[in-house]
Amino acid sequence: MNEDEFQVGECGHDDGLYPLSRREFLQSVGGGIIIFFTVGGASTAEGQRRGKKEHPDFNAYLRIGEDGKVTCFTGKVELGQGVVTSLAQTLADELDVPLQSVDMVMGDTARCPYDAGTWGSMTTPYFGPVLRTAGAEARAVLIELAAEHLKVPKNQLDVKDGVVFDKTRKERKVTYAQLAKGKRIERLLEQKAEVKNVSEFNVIGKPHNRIDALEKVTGKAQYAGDIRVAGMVYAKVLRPPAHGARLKSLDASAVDGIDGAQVVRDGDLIAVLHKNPDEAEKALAKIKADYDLPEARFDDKSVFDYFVDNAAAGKVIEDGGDIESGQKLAQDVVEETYLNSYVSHATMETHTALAQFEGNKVTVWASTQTPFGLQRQIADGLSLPVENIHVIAPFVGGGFGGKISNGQALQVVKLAKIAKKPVQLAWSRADEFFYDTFRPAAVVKIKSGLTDSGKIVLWDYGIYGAGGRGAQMFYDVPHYRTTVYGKLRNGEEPHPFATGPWRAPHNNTNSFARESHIDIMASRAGMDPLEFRLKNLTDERMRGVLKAAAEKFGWTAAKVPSGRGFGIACGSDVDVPVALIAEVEVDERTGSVQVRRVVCAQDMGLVINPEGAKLQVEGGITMGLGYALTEEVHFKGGRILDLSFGTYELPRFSWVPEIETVLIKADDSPAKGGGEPPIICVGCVIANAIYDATGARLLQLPMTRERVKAAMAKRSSHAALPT
Amino acid sequence: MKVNKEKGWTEGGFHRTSNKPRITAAQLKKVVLDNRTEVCLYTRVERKSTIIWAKRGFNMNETISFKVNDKSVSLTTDSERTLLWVLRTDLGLTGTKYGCGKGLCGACTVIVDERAVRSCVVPVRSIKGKKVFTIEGLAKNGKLHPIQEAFVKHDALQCGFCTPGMILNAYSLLLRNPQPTKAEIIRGMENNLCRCAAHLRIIRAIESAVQKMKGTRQK
Repeated sequence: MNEDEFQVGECGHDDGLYPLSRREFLQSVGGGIIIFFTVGGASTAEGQRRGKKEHPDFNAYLRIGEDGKVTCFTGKVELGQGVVTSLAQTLADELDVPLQSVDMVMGDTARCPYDAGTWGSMTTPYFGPVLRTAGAEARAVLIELAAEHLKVPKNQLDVKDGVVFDKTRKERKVTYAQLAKGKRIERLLEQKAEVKNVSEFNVIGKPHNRIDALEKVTGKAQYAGDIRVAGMVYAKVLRPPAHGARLKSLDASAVDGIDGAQVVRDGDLIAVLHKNPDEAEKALAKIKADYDLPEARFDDKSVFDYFVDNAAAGKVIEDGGDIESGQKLAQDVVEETYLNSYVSHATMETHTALAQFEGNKVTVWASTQTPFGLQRQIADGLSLPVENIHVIAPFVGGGFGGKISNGQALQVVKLAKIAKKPVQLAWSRADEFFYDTFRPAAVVKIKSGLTDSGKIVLWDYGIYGAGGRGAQMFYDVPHYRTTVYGKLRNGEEPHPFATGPWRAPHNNTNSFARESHIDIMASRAGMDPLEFRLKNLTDERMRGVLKAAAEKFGWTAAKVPSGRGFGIACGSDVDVPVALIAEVEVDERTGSVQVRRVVCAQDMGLVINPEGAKLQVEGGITMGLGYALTEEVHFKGGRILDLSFGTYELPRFSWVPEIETVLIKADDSPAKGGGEPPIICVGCVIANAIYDATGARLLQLPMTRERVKAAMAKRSSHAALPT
Repeated sequence: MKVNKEKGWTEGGFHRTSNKPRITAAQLKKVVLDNRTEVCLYTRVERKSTIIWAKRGFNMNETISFKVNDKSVSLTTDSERTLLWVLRTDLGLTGTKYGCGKGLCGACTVIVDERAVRSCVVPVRSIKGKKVFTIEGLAKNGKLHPIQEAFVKHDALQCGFCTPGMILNAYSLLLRNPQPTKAEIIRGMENNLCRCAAHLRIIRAIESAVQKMKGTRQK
């Protein structure tokens, strides 16, 4: 499955989605200077990449109000990734205003123009440059106005902190507020304005603390579940025992109408409404429901064989040379199979939404990465025009790709419509584990070939269950082929429950397999794993991050396993090459792995907020410890067995290594998103470090204590540690 | 099943049809003897103990008084409801978050009589007459507490959903141990979960708050 197709399909974007005309927007904006702009320009790079066709004539705008306040309106959402800060920085710099005077209005379908959604590390590379141009355009308009006002030629003027002044006589000045007062100027950005050079930046590229931190440390930041409207009630939904279960009978007589509880049913959606959410939950437990359960096709242990045995013909997504020639050239052929389990997003905020109807109009506050996608989903579901649906995404408590399909919001809209009152639904933690769109379980089979001099000459790569993002071969291999086995022979989707994008979709899986396999080959060739990689790699940016990480770490060459517990790995996501080096300690008795230190080098082009970028790297690496070491959804058919943090283990404070980040200086290269790349190599770098420490090769994620012990028990004599 | 409107609880239960009680005599004894055990029993066997609950009036509304953020509060509600939802719904203090409902993540952490508790598993009856602090009550006269300041300065958060619980857990930790070592901070924070993984920053923020609070007993 292609994750891009999945996302677009899930979001349901289409022609004619954009609900408000520019005129309608203008009526609601008020006075001041308003700049409209289109992300990606006329060609909408983002739209093309996603294979969509919508053509709004603008999809964000900014306003310099009559009070001098700058407001940027965008449909992007703040999920914790920090764009509320980096976008404000971008705008403040081009406009020459203090960062504090920029307000960001985000994720509101009535106040912000259309946006496809916040995912795929796309905000910074696609939205950022246009925002810069818009800021520059607004500044140019203001300079023009100031020239008229001060009767001074434009080239004699400069701006600092929102004040335009005459460079020759600094007391001749006028503020943005004075210039915008009583004005009504609209411009549609045509990407003509010149943006600043790197050397002129005042705010971009400088570390800055998050601008949303104050609200978040005082408890004032509002998430969807914190919104209260008059007359609202809380819903709890009845979770079926398994995916694919069919309701046979229902007895809600012990609940409905008792102690203020109301039972609402719409087909298979059954919920209890109550003025208190905890009482709704208590009442829900008293509903008796019988289900027919489908036969389980497989469980968390047999899933891998099932995928491989039942795979339909694969789709070759990339090839070069020919496999037969590669086989002839190979003096050593290495074949191995890599596995990874289903993984949950497990955001701290469970999916939450509140729906309030007024006639045939509805307002929905939802934790979502796709407010406009949700607007369309609701419109389709209720057969209402999109303009009747107002979606607001307040602060969102983590997304990671999990808040794209909007299941909770679609449920709550139905409930509010039937109950004829505002309803808020927050999935319980168990609901969250059940309804989540997991990262798919997958199998990767690799057959590779080496020459005696340590050159890779053959690479035949097949992935079952997941997609090809991150599977592209960037080492220099003359004969290679990458095949994705997405469907089963009978045409069925392989997964018994919903799966979806999970921070750098598929790339954690593919990088784990590729980099583990590269390490095995390095070891077979008797070479240091860094040296082996560099020998087979001409991509300058990838070599750059490997060398930068090695330098920071203080890497010294050794054959693996060396007993030191050092691992190295590299990969690429959203055109950002990244290299990780880790040091681990393995307790041979318990199989427990402690990661001591991780160095990450990342080449993400121009870095807007170095502090924010480092925060994302640290977050990615720490979050990655979970999928690497413990996180795994156990299941039997459609029945999910992990429904709480009691059995599904997230990374904790004591697991966290020292993390050092090197951001490659590349100010002249376009800014790229940095939230996803750092996580892709966490699994493989730890696997490689465990091998270096113990001589035991882990071929399955997560690398639980049991699996580490089992791998150590299987150690072959050739892998024995130097004594 | 019928509702006793006068007394405000539901009578009857799922084991009415059976002559045998579905809880053992030993458990029954515990129920009668110890108020706290009843809560455990309820969550463990749920429906089967309904009748005992009803007889003891557990669905009955009760007036409960306590202090929240220095203000006296008195409310009449089912005393078995959790502190979390009383705070979030009845009192409108939404800074305290629901994360898991089982006391496993720490997002709902509040301070009760100077100790961090997981409000999602605390019945409101157990805080009668006590002092509760939530994240909304930590800043005094518009001035952030040093721990809050340090979280801002060190970017010790991303999505911010676990943040109130993190800050209050750290607050409680420093009340008990004003000069913790890094290892003690890690141990003290271990059971608060953060999915965006700001752990390193949180540790750093607490360390810097410790430095700032040195010599002052700050509440």
